[in-house]
This record gives sequence, structure tokens and C-alpha cells, in this order.
Amino acid sequence: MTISPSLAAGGGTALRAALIVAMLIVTMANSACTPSRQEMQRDVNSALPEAIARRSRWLGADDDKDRAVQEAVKALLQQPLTPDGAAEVALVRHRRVQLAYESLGLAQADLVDAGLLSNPRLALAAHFHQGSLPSQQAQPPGIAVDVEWPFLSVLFLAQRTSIAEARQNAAAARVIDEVLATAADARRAVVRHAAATEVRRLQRADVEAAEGNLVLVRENTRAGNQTPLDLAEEELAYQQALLMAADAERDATLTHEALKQALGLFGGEGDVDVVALSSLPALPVPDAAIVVDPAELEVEAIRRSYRLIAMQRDLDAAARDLGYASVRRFLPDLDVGLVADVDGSDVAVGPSVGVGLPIFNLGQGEMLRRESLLRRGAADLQRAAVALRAQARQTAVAHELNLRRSHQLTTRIIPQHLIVVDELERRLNGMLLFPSRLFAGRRGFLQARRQETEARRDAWLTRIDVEQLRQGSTPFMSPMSSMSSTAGSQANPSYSAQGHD
Amino acid sequence: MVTRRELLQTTAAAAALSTTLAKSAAATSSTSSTGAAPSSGTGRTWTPNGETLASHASRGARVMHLVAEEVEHEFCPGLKARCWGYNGRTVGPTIEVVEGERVRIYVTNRLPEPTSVHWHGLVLPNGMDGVAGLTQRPIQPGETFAYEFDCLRAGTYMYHPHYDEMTQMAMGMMGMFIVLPRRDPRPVDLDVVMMLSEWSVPAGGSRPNPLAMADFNILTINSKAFPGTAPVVVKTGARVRFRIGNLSAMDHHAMHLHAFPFTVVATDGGEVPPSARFPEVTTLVAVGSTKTLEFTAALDGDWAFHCHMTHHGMNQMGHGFPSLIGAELTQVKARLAKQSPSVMLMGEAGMGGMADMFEMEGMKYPANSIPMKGGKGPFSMIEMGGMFTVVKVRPPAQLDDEWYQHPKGTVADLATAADLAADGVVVPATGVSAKT
Ligand SMILES: [Cu+2]
Repeated sequence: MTISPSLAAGGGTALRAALIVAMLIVTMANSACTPSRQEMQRDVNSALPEAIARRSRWLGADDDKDRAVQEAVKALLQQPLTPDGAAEVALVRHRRVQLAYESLGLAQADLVDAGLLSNPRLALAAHFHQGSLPSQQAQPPGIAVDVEWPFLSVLFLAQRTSIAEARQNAAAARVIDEVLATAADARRAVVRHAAATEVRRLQRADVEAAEGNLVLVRENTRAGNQTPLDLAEEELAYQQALLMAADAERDATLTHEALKQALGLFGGEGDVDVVALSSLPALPVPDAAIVVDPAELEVEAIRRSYRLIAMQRDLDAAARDLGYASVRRFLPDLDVGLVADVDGSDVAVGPSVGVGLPIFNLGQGEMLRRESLLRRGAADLQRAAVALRAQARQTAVAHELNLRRSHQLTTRIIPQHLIVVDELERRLNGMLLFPSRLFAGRRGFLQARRQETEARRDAWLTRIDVEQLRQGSTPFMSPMSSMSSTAGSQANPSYSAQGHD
Repeated sequence: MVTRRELLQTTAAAAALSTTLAKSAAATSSTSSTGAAPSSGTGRTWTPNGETLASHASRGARVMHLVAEEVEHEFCPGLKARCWGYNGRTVGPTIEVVEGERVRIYVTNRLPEPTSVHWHGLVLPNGMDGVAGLTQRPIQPGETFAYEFDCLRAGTYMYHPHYDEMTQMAMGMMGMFIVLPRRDPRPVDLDVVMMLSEWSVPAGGSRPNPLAMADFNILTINSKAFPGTAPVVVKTGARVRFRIGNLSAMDHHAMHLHAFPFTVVATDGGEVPPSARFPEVTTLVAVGSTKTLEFTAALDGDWAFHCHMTHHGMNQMGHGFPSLIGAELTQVKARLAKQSPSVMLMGEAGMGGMADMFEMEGMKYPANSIPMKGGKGPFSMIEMGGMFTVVKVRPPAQLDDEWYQHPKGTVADLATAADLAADGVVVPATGVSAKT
């Protein structure tokens, strides 16, 4: 409802004053500056570990740099991927990072909006004198010009800007969290696929051993030294080996697909190769010095989680929004303006005021909604924090147990299998045992290698979890590109040379 | 009941002969014999790879001392084990006395468990029979017992524990007990003592397993497995006596001598009456018995003497799994080589040649084991182990350990085509497969 009463002449001064105020406000609003894409990306990157920051990009901000990064990624894809190489690729190629950046873009747009004043409204009205039709040309029609402007938007400009800023900060934190998660997921995908590739190789060797034994028993049954029962049992054992190998083939294919997905690749570009699991740096010995304390990791995770920070910032925005609404609800919509009435040669200029009457809607619903949003955000933050605490403790415990398991397999079980195989070989040479025992011993060794591969994979996966919880600040995975070049000398376990697998 | 005084009187007659024996034995402490036999006709026995227990005369008896103890024993080069024995050895030293002599034998127990000694086959007072629990209390570790009795009857006997017999004999506690006749009715040039026994030592292990009941993998003469057994070297035409005892846990042994028919002249029960003797080339020496056989080494050469149970002529090779004879193993070998490059699979053409493989450079075998070890022979490896030795018959001037030099034309060799043709022998173009 707008009331625009015509005011008497003498409003020239008022018009000038109003114009000056309007100019001031427009100037003020435009000077509430918003950061550029590059600036926001710089802010995001400053929170990231260096190795990640150098590849984390909001594409489209700088075409030349974008091209350089894409070239670097292409080069990375030409060689077997390390976990960190994969992280670099994913940061550029996986769209979830751009998705997060564009959410930041939206928040930025909202912030720009919040800093702008509402536009004034211009209304024109013509009125004709009674009895004089336009054709009669007796008396020209009168014209009313009404410029109205929702005045209170000026008062709430700062508040709206601060809400939008809080939301933008939340969006920035989400970008950081998303970038770290993308990098971690890419690393995990490499480790999983490297392990699956290794398991596939071991299961193929296992099939060879089972097949060797099958051929032995088949030929020996043909020669009359063994029975159809022996042969049937060996055939079964061989079929079981084939089944396990088929499972391993499937897993290797699936992890490869998952890797492509984690890297954001598709088509021919997706046929990427990964480094051997054994070429990753040696896992640390699980002694007291290296084990991650669950309580410490819990504290660190809570302190560093950008997901929680984003939620806190959202909560902050919601609180501000509630405060804004609680003030705003009691103020009526207030439009102020100027009315100019031109009637022939008679010009009347005067101020106009429009007031929304808060009779029916006192903003009760808006208040309830905002209160609920605030409480929902708080509950969600608490839920997420509790879940993160649990995740941190579980990760710390799993990390230690996985390290121990891997260590036991590497330093005890595998060497023992090698001793067993060596003794079996000695005995076969002395005709002290039937060759089936040696084939079985080799299969036992290969299965232990598989267990060891899986334990090593799990240890790496939990290390990546730990690193992600620490937001990439741990020195575990110092820049990957430097790791892969030294991996050969660090992580070639002594058994692989004599393992004949 | 025979009193001690009476016992002493009955043995007085043997005093003169026994004094001579005691002096010679005491002077050398004990006679060790691992290589060639002593010069013939001494009236004494010879234990290949063994020794004779030292003795001396004292207070009207021949006094000897047995110490039961753990010993480090080599069955054959390449296989040592911690066994139990007497006086630092297994087989225990041969006790040698003269018919009618009184013996006082001290037995010291240095084992971790009690023991006793039973004088197997000897007729003696019940309280000296050595059956722990039945005729005496066990000799506790650290204790020394005295056994005293008269050796009334000449013959070939044995001694062994009669406490935890299964364990102690499986561990090597046994020896021969020879009572020489005051006057040998058939003097021999060489009187050889052999104790047969069987052991279970896992390849790579180093202690006999007394719990074994069937899977014995080391068969020994005087606790030695071929090629660890000392050959018996005699001069052409020599009269030879073998006194063979068997204290194996579970097996009798069909002892077979090549070339020379022999006669069993006595058991531990006494002389076989001449009317009951008959010529043999193989005789079964049952567990817990002795047999004494005599023969004339009429022909020069290297003659095998062994148990004819073929598994008793092997060493620690495996038993109880399928053989590979006749199997086509080319593909298996290729696959095995991929899994284990350092193994050599054999056996599809029989199990010969294993001994050669054992000698191959770089082939690995279980430590401390003699799985396929044969002995080096003048023509090739002798593919035997276990209860096997060689009787070397030579002219008196050549009594040494060297291989027999066969006169030209007396060794089996490749038949010439001319001989085959002359005798109308046609060799089939293919072997067995032609018939199948
Ligand atoms: Cu036998």
C-alpha cells in the first residue's frame, strides 16, 4: 500500500536534500567492495598444504595459468600415478572442486547483492480534466511523477552484508574441505587400485601353482601312481584358485573404475596406470613414537576440521539472520520519495511516504523459521562434531592396528613362509616329500603375500585418513612427487628379491 | 642257592686265560676299531666302528665300568644326532670275557632318568638280570650300581636297559656281550661283532624319536649307516665269523651275504648242533636275538653284506607318498621351476641317480641329513644306505681299503654287436611299450 499525497510547492529544497542523500547512499553501497575470484582462491589456498595448494584451482579465473595446470596434469597421467600425483590430477579434473568453488561464487554473488541498495521506483500518472477530451484541446492533461525508494534498506545494509559475509566464509571453508577430501579420495583410490593390482598378480601366481599341482596329479594319475580321487580333489583346489583369481580380477577392474572416478577422468584418458604398492615409502615401524594418540587426533581433528568450521560459520550467519529478522519484523516497510505534480503550468513538488501496515503478518512465521534453522544448524554441528570425534579415535586405533598387522606380516610371517618354502625345497630335492607339498607351500606363501598386501593397503588407507583429519598438516606424506623418486630405495622389502612370485 | 664262595671256585679254572685277556685289554684301555680288521687269529673279536670295553682283574673278577650317558653320534658323514649310549658312544663298547669268568660290572647312570642293564641271553642269578622293578630297583641318575655274575656259557649275547626300554634302546643304548670259549672248536681268522638297530631321526632333526613305531629311516650296523659303515677286510680263503645281534625296535633283519654260503653255528641260546646246521646266504636275525654265522671267504672281490629288506638299505629318504614313476613331468617341471627355481624334480624314471644328485654342487638339502646319500663306488655311486657294508676279500699282500682291481674281462659291460650276433640274441627295437 503506497500513499503518495501531493504536497505543496516549496519542495525544491527537499528534493535537493533527498538527491544528496541518495547519492551518498549509492556511493556507500558501491564502495562495500567484494573480493575477486583470484583473491578468494588465494585465501582458500593459504589454508591448504603447499602440495595441494599448488594444484587447487578455481578454473576460469586465469586462462593462462589454467592451461599450464592442464598441461602439467596431462604429463602426470603419462606415467604411473603416485598417490600425490593422483591428488594433483583430481584437484584439476574432478568437478566436485569446481562445484565447491562455484558455490563460493554464489555466496560471493549474494554478498554483492547484500551490499547493494534497493532501486528506487518511478511512477508516472496522467490525469484528464472533466469534460475536456483530448481531441478538444481545451486543457492539457495533468501528469504526476512519483519516485519512491524503500528507505529502510539503508538501515539494514550493514546487517545484510555481515550475514552474506558469514555465508561466504562458510562457503570458503567448504571449498577447503572439499579440496582436501578430493585429494584424500584420490590418494585412497590409488592405494586401493595398487593393492588390487598386486593381489591380482599374486592370485595369478597362485593359479599357476595350483595348476602346476593339478598337472602333476593328472600326469601321475595317468601314470597309475595316483587315483581318480586325488585328481578330483586337485581339480577342485584348482577351480577354487580360479575363483579367487576371478575375484581379484574383478576387484582390480572395479578399483580402476573407482580410481578414474576419483580423478574425474573418463574415456581413453581413464586408462591410467598406478605405481606398485611396494614402491610406496616403507611404512613406519609401529613403535610408541609413531603411533597416533586417539585423544590427540580427536582434539586435532575437531580443531582443524573445515567442515565443522563451515557449519559454525553457517550457524553464525543463521544467528545474524535471526537477529536481523527480530529487528526487521517490528519496522514497517517504509518507502520514501518525491512526488511531482504537473498540471498545465502548475508544478507541485513534495515528499511522499509509503508504509506497509503490520496488521496481519507480524513476521511470526519468519521468526519461527529462523529460530528452527538456527537450532537445526546447532544440532547438525553437534552431531557432526560427535561423529568426527568418533571417527578420529577409530582412525587412530585402526591406524596403529593396521601398522602392527602389516609389520607382523612383513617382518615375521612372510620370512617364516620363505623358510618353510626353502625347507620344502630342500626336502623335495632329497625326495623326502611329494611335490604337492611344495606347491602347497608356495600357495601358502602367496596367500601370506596377499594378506601382507592387504594389510599394507589398510595401513596406507588409515594413514591417509589420519592425514585428512589433520587437514594435511602431517609430515607423513610430504610432497608425493619427491616421495616417488626415492621410493625404490626405501621400500623394496628384502623378501621380494628372493620371493619368486 | 649258589654262594659267592662257590661262584669264585667255579670261575677259578678260567683264571689263567682271563689274566692274559685282562692284561692286553687293560694295557690299551680299550680297543677301538673303525677301519680295517685286526690281524687274524688273535682269538679276540672285532667290532667295526666300535670298541671293546676296557677291563681289569680285581678281587677275583674281571672288572668293567659302563657309564650310561648322552652322546653326540655321527651315523654317517653329514648326519649327527644327540643319542644315549655307554662310555661316550653308541653302539656301546663290546664286552668281551672268557667262558667261566666272573665279571663285576659297574654301571653309572648319567642319564636324566633311571636306567638298568639287562645282560641279554646270559644265565645268571635272578637279582643280576637287570629288569627294573622286577629284579632290582632302578638305577637313579647319579647312582652307580654293581652287577656281579659268572659267565658260564660261551656265546654271543647283548646288553641293554630294562627300564623305559622303548626310549632308551631307541636312543641307542645297547651293546654286544661276547663270552669267548676257553678253546675255540673252530678257530677263525676274523671274528666280527655287529649290532643291528633302527632309528627315527627326521631329516633336518638331530635326535632320535623313540615314539616312532614304523617310520624308521636310519638302519644301522653298530650304529652306523652306509656309507658310514667300516668295511670288513679279510684275506683270501679266511675263515670268518659274524656275530650278529638285533635290538631294533620293530624289525627283524634278513641279513644277506653275497657269494659265500654261510652256516649259522649258534644263537644266543647256544650252539646249533652240527646235525641241525644248513647252508644259507640269507638269515633272519629276529629282534632280541643273536645269530653267529661262519663262512670261508673263498673269492677275492668286494662283496656286499646287507639287510635284504630294501627299505633297510636306504637312508632318510621319504616314504608314504605316491611315486612318480612313469609320469610325464615336463610340464610339471616347467611350472615348478617358475615357483621354485632351485629344486630338481626327479623320480619319473625310477629313483636311481638320486645319490649323484646329492653330490651335485649347489643343490640344497635339509641340514644335517642324509636323504639320498649313497656311497662312492669304483664304477658309480653305490645307491645304498642303511644296513649295508662291504666284505673285501684280498690276497694277504693287499689287505687294504682300496677298491678291488678286477682281472681284465671279469666285469660285466656293454655287449658287443658281434657277441649278440654270434649268440643269436636280437635286442627288441623298443622296450616295454612295444608289449603294451
Ligand atoms: Cu632289515
